[in-house]
Amino acid sequence: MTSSGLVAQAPGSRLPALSSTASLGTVGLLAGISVWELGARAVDAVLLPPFSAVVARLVELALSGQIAASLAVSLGNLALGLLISLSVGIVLGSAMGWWRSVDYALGPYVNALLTAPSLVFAPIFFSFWGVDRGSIVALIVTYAVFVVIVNTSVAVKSIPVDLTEMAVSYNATRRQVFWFIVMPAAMPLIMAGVRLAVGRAVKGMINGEMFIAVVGLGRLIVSSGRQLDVATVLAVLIVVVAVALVLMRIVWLVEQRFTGWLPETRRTG
Amino acid sequence: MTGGGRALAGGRRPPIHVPRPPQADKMRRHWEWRRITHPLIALALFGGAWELFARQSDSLLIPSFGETLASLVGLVISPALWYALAISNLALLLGFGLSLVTGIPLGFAIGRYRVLEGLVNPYLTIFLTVPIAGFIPLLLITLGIGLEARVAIVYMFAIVVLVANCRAGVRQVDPLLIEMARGFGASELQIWRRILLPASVPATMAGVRVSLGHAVTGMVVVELLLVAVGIGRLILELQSQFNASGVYASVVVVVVEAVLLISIAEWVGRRAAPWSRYAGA
Repeated sequence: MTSSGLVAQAPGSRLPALSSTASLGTVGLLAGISVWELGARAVDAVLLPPFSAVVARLVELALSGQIAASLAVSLGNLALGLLISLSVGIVLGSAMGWWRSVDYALGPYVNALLTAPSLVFAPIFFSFWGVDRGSIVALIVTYAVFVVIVNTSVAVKSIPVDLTEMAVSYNATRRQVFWFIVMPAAMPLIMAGVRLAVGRAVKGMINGEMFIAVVGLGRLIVSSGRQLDVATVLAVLIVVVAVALVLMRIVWLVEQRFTGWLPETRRTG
Repeated sequence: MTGGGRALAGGRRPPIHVPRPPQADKMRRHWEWRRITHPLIALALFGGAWELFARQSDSLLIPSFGETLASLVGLVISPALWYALAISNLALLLGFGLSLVTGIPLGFAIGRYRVLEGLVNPYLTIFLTVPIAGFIPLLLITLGIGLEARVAIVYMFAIVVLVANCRAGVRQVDPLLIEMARGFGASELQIWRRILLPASVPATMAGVRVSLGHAVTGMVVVELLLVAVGIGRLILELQSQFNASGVYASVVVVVVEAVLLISIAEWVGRRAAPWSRYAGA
């Protein structure tokens, strides 16, 4: 997650290296799957179903409509949680970046909650909403909101002074500076925060559903785990990975739209 | 998590010798009293609002701010809390230690050798996106519900981001430096010792810090979700006794532990690499 911002490629060797990395990745993935398949067939243990069995189970689950039903519930919670996280996160983060007093007042708590294990708040939400989607949505927000706040506030704070000074010298009001200078300039970092938030929200969704265990994909994982049904657990995990990757892709496309005007080097993707 | 350690660092930064972009100076602020008074005011406002809300709703499940504070004091002086923390942290210690020993070399190797990176990359992507908690049922089936399973889960939570950061640390080294060293006849071992290892210290330490956070998460997640021991068990027991203020207080304890551990990791990181400010981590 944090690493994505750190990964720097050697200059000059960009395109050829990327394409060979991708094909090597396919090789690695295929090799892993074959080892899994052959190993599982050789050992023939209940606890390690071969890959083909997991895929068969996945198809079966998909055809019976179980995946679609759970997925619909899960994604609904996820969408609501993300919506709240983004609006609250961007507003609070901008306030912290814009007013130093707000930053001092909230900064320590936001940073503490960003690093603390979010699931530990589940019992508290449980006491508010009980076995309800409210608990899960609240947990998703706890997972996702703080990284948006921190990234947004850092983004607003790290705007080059030259930009704002230039605007002020042309008689821009503080409000104009905020909306026309600060917000666009902060957009790349804000979107990087959004990308991290999506990944964390998916984790919060699954963990919340596992903790409360009445709805969605998380319940499917817990209940099939209890029945020692490893194939189902793995099939559901494949769905979760697919959902996460598709969501990341969507965020990336949105990011392109928002930051497409920037020169290549200023983008964080 | 850019700037995640800003407030935790307590405002003291080691002298920085590398030239930095002008806007960075705006981020490094001088000490002000507001740094202490403002958080306290915020806490007082929050506590006051909570107290009012709790009295208004008058629910058995929602304790007041004062009750929670009283419970917190009670917990801290009770041996049960420390016993629970000891059980939980044993798994944390073993799992995190194991991930340091294996994850750092693995990340370095992936960062240095492109073929290896290509082969491992898809798995890294998958494990960075998938909620690790989903694997807990599988690990319990294979390893039982003992210490081994908890250690394994902490390990899985911690290692992924550590590998990713160590890889990035080695990868961001300027290839010209390596070529130059090679041109002067440096061996692979010398390149590692003189260039790659020192250059990757900041990213590695940032990885250690983030992965410690993940390890604490793993410790709590497994105890809350499937194996009720240690601090997770304490929380669930208090919850089933409708001891709401106890639940809230133990949540505070977990958050404080996580923040403390990460601050320690951050301090160690700054000692190990005083020239860096964890750029980008």
